[in-house]
Amino acid sequence: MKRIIVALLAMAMICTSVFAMGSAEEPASDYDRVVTTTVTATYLNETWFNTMNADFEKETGIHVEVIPVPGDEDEYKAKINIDLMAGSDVDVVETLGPKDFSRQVSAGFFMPLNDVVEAAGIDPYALYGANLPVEDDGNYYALPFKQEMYCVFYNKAIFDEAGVPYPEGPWTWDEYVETAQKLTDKSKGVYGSLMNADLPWMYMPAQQLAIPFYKEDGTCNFDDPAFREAAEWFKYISNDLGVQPSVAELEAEAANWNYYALEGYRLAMFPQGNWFTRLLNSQEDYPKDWNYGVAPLPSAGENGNNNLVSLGYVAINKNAAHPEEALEYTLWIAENQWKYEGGIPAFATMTEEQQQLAFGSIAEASHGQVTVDDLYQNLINTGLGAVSSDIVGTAAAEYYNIVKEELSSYNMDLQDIDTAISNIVTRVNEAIASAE
Amino acid sequence: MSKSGMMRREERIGYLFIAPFLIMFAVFKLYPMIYGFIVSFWDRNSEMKLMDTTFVGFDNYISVLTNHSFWEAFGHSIVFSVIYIAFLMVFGFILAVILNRNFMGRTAVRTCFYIPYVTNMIAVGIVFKYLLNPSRGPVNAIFRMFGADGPRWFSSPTLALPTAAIVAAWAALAFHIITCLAALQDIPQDVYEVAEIEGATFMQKIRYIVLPFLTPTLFMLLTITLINSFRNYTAIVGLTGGGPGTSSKVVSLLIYDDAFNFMKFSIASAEGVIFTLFIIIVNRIFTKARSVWESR
Repeated sequence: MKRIIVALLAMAMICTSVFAMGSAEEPASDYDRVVTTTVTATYLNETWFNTMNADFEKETGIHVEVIPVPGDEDEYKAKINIDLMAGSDVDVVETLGPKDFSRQVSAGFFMPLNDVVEAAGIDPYALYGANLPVEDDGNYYALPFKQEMYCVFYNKAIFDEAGVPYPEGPWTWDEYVETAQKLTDKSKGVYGSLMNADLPWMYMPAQQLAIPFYKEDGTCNFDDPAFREAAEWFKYISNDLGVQPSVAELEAEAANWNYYALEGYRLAMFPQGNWFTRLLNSQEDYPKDWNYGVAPLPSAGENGNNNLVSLGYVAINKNAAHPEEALEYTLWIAENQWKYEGGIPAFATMTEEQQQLAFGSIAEASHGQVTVDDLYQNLINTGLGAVSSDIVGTAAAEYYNIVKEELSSYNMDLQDIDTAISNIVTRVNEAIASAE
Repeated sequence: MSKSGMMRREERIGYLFIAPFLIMFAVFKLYPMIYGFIVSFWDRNSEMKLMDTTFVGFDNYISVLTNHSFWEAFGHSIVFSVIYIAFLMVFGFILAVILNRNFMGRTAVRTCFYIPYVTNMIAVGIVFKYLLNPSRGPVNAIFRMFGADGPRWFSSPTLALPTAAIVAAWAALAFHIITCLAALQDIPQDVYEVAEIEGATFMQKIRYIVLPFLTPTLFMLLTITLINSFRNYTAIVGLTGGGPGTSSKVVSLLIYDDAFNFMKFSIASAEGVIFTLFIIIVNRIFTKARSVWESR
């Protein structure tokens, strides 16, 4: 008897240990049709995300089963790619930024949408214009569901104290720096500007000039003089001119934008994407005793009248378990997610009603700090063209990382600009050759 | 029942008890290790599907061994390990000797030393980044009181790696203190008493009593610390992120980047295998040194 009890206990230990590894129990559902989507686990705490899915379920009768991925956005990207490589049958995948999206498309993760979208009576070319990610093979493997644009947010209190008029567009980087100089008062801990020691800020003007990252033969084009000039300019305004914290200070913080802009320093102007309004309006999480304003991104000269734009894409997995439901969800997300998330839709043009919807909630949450018109005029109606804020092409992730490492070393006086550019070109070309 | 029959039954029950560990070990350790080793001979360096992978022999190893970034990270790992091991071995021993003496509040002090050991490394990183912030941290505020700017701890290319190694070692110090303390308490009291009668000084007692008694423990700690010193991913990510530039990028960070940011799984596996071989060799040298020492 004793032996039997011992054996049973041992078996129980094995079973509980092995089977406790986890098989998620599927929630009971009243819906006949299901679509699965995978997102970072943080989305589950977002009211807009849950409301959006509830509305989709109500409208279509399709239950949205969310598969959360623990970790931040970078971890999510790595995990979802591995999952897709392993043949996951999750239906719908959202990707932020063309850099990751192009890698996923070339890996063949997604199904082409041309036929199914057009069969659904939608003309995506008219609806999304240049934002539709048409590939070299003539197919598009995703629909854009939102766009992030850059602008300059500013602290009105610092401008008022210094008696400097609020910035207005159109303006240039020279005017931006001139304004930042007038506002900088280190005795009061005030810096006129903050551009993070990160990409794309470390070479932003070159990107506005639409200088390609790759030469025609596919090799690295970072030796273009425009990149060098932009990198030198960033170092000059940070380390020499002192209108913003030095690169050493920024490296020492290694913190997020919200820390710099809202808690760490008194910063007058900070060029950022429109997503930043979520922090600026969140008085509960990021309390501040000043009002903010918004100005357009400065131009980089006659040929640099461009804003940097990053798109979010929604795609259907090639191995989707529920392709029909996935299409319905994808179309719905592309059309509606921006309304819930509080972003800018990726449509080619925006009606007045859409402007009101896109910016109305931001303006309302700002409690009068910015109006719908402020946002529209300084983000959309700027007279600026659009270029991608990401490096898109072969070995893009390595390219990004190498540029960041080498320019960071340059900004920390570990190497001169010639060595930095030469290292970037050599290392990126190696990465491109390896990827090819 | 025969004696051998009983033994066999007991053996079977014993295996049943260790089965959960063996299953877990096989699934989560052994299989990934073998798989990682195999992958290092494949061309699994993009998002391509598993079926499309081809065998490339030692190409990934050649690629790693001729890559400047690998050797740079390798050098950083060695520097990190040397500082980490030296700090832990020296301060672990000194503090254990101090804490072995009777003084008021000894238990409270011992507890204080143990707290960092049970604290999450990322939390330690956040606290130290604040403490050592060059412009707003309290440590450099002390330097400024004396008219100096103070070092740029984590943002200096020369200081970032040593600072990270010392902070990581500080967080792990408690294990060394406790282990040395336990060994110190095993030294028979009468040995000290004889030394006392003979008029031995404090340093003579350390040299002729404490160190010889503690040698096996110190060798054991050295081996454990050596292995732990290469498991530095969390410390580096939490404290420097590998920067500024690449000045504190260690092999574990390089492996993570190659595998999960650049999807170069085969390259990352080859880096892992090479580095594991290096750790095994160094460990063998330490073990040999230990046996030579003990046979003296």
